[in-house]
Amino acid sequence: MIALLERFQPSPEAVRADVVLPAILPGRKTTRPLWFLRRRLTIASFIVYLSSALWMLYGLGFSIGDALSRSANARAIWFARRPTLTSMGFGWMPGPVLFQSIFTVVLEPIGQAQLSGPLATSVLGAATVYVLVSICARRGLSATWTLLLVSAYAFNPAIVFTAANGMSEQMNFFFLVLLVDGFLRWSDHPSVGAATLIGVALAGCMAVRYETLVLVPVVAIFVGLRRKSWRERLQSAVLVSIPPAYVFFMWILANKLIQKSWFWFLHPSGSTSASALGLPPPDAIFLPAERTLRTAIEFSFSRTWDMSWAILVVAPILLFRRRGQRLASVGIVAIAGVYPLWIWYLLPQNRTWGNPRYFLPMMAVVVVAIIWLASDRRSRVFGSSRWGGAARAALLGVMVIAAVNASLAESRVKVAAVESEWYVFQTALGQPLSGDRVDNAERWRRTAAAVDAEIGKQPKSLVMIAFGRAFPLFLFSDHPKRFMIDSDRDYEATLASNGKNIDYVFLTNGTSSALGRLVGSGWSEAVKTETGSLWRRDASAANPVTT
Amino acid sequence: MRAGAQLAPPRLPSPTAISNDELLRVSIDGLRDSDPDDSASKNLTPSQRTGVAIGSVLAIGVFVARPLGTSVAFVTMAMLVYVVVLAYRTVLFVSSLNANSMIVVSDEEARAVPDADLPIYTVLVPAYKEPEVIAELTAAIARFEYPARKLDVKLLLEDDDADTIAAAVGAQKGDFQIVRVPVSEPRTKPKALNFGLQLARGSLVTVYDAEDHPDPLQLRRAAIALERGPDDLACVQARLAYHNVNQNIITRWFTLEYATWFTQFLPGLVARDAPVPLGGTSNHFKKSVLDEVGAWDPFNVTEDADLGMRLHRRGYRTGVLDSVTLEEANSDFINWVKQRSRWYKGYIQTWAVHLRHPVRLYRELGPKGFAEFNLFVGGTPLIALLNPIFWTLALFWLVAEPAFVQSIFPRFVYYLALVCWLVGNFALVFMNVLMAHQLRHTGLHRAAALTPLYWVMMSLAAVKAAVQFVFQPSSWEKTVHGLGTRPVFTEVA
Repeated sequence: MIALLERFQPSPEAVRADVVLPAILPGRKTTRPLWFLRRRLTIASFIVYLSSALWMLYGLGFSIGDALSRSANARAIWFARRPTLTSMGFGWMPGPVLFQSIFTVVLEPIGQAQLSGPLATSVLGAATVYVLVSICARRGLSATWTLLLVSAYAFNPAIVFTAANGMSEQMNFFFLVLLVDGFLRWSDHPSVGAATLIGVALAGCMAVRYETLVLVPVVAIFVGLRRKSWRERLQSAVLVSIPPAYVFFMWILANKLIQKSWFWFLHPSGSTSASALGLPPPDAIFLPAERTLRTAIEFSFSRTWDMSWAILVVAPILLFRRRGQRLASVGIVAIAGVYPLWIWYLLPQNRTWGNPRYFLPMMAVVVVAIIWLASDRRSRVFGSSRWGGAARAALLGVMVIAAVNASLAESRVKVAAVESEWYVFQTALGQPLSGDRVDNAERWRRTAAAVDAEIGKQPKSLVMIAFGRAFPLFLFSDHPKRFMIDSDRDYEATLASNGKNIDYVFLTNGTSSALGRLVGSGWSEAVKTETGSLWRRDASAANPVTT
Repeated sequence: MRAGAQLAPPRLPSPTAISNDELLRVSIDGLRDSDPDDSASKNLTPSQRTGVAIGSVLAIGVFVARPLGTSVAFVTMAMLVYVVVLAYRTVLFVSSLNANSMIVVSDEEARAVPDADLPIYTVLVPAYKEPEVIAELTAAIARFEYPARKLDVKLLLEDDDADTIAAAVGAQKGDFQIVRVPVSEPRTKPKALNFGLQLARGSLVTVYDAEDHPDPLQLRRAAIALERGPDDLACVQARLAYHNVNQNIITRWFTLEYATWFTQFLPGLVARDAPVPLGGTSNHFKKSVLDEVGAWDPFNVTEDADLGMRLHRRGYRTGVLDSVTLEEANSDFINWVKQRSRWYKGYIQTWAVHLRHPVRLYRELGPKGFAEFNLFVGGTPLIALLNPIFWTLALFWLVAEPAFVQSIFPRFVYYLALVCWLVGNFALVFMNVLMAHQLRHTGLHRAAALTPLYWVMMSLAAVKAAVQFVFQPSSWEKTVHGLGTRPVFTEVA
């Protein structure tokens, strides 16, 4: 029978189209060079990211306050006096802390809990590279172009920085890449698989960044538009919104259970997360002096130019794509547009610090779009044997220019003052240092040593701290179980009892901002107010211990 | 009564060359004689019994001596099982989404093969006390787009099932052959299948239930897939779906479960080259391979799942065919519990049988296959058995916050439990929502949202199965058919 069947096969191509035995026949999966490349490129990027993290953390002594806060939260989850998940406070989206808490377990025994954030972002950065190569493989891009395009993204210094700094961006990039991939799959063929990917990716983004609140409806609309009937449109839009809605609900439920307010995250100064949402000063050099919608748009354009220059080139190409691709193209631009749009919304209200990293997610969106363009065999330009190579080279050039542009922007104090990224970039580029760097970590290390020495004199002594402000003390101390922190069940009772059962109260003066502005005060003010008899003097971080 | 097999009407050369007693003996003892370790005729081997006994005594002893420590250890192990099984289910789901794991044979390709080139196809249809579905069987046979002269349909009826035999004889127009299986123990479907298999004249064999409504091109598709696939492809399993989806909430849940099982989990297993537990019907085999592996185990009440394992252990592969067979979903609660408890019991049987020589199994399957076998075959009933324990603990905690509940969940275990609770439950419900979306039947979305209630039913069935595994291992509780609405012949997915 086999012979007879073979005789009736019209042609090998037709048979492949009609009889699909993909999981059974060998050779239907990713071709070997791309398997090989995927593994190598993932490992290479991880090595670069982790090396950069170690250099920044130990070589330069550089760390961002919010990254230290997340590392402290992660440490508290496992190693606080009364460890619980509530140690993370839920003022921020919990995704990054939950993920890095896994690494904390391994790093704690070697006394390097502060490395959990950078290690987590390095892993996530490498995972993003893995996903990108997989997308290239599935879309049939050659190994050479895969290597070049993915490397242009992965080794963009601004991306390397986010993959090494222990912040939340890299996790967001990972899910954004999945989201855009899922969205393009959905545009190709609206399948359950694509919807699942979109939903899961949106849930991931929701677990990481506030901006996802805007991203979800945008994606849902474009997902719906792909369907024909209104009923299908609504169902599809709801389907992809369910996972992020669930994550959001769980998050605000946590806010309610822990902080007694569904929307505590809107005013998180009492959370165990660092109090990051203080107001930016009117004279901040990195923000427009006048904060109106017009200046917000100008500012967003300027920062987009600085950090994600590629989107400004790729967006017009996407918007003028052929008819069948137009919805997907506009959708990608809309997804990327959420990030500057968020700033347009917040800046006139003076509720954002406008950090350059807020504009970098567009690079994660644009790299998938570029892979999509470069692998489009039906395109007259990219599919042409004559022009395809040149067009792909042009896209590569865009990615490289964007990388150079972002590096130079990050080295400018005026752009990168909020978190002192300029210090890392100027050092890396061999430029003379041109600003005053914020160095919370070293100060806090010294403080922790002083506190450890003090409490070392009295075994079992207990120090009450306001975690949202004094998290680095907890992070760098050798005695994490000797701190009573805000999430402890007896914290409020201790406050109410005027400090019964504690030996020390650690107070900060509430002026830790590099810009000389008060950045929230939270529980530390409560400590001052409610433990008056314990408080002797308002100690600064340099001389913090009061008894 | 060991009466002879009666073939009516005799379309085939009479199998008188083989005595009926011999046919029956092979049906019952074939596998037990050739591979006793693969047969579930003994529930547990002596060494397994000893192991279980020693383990139980030790567990009780340790619990009496150190109740808290033992409880913590139990909870920890249970949570690890939950997390690993959950992660594995998710991996299977994602695997099936990422890879096009189904075998697709288009209508054009299926019809392009001339009748003369098609092999003789044996269709085995076991039935017991189902006179009402005989008409459906004849209609299904008539719908097959397969040359009649190459169809070898055998309706396998128990010799004492007078009503069904009468209905079959009345409906018979020469399009199927009635095979009367002598009454004997165990009274199971696989025994009847083994009996019918010995009379088969096709090189390909499939199994349908009498009330099934297979895709008319399914035999052609399967024939092409089996012939054109690699040599080690021994079986293709068609997708099963239900025609009475909207009859009530149970049929809706069942539909969602089947959709997940046959469009996600089984293709996911195929994509990962893992052992595939076959579904009860619509599995298509190369007869030579069936003969080689000893066909069905008459003592195993999920003989299909067991056969899938044995095929994998012997180095054969199973594929999932993109072709649908419509069945009747169980719409009655008691009937559903009977059916599901049989399935769980069968999974426990299969698990126990294949773990008789764990080292040998490990060598045959490799570490990945060994783990996947345990996660899927063992994990399915185990999770259903564990659920009531943890639901009770959760309820205790919510109502009274007793200290002992907190004490048996140390931090690490508590976090695992939280992941299972918040992520796992949502993921499983969301999978059903996705299936509801895919199936496009009204009312399924609400059923998907209420899935946790279905889990309660599953746990009831699992407890019953565990009890039966001890006391009535080979007892086959017949599922009553004909409770559903009549089918509407449209593709459901």
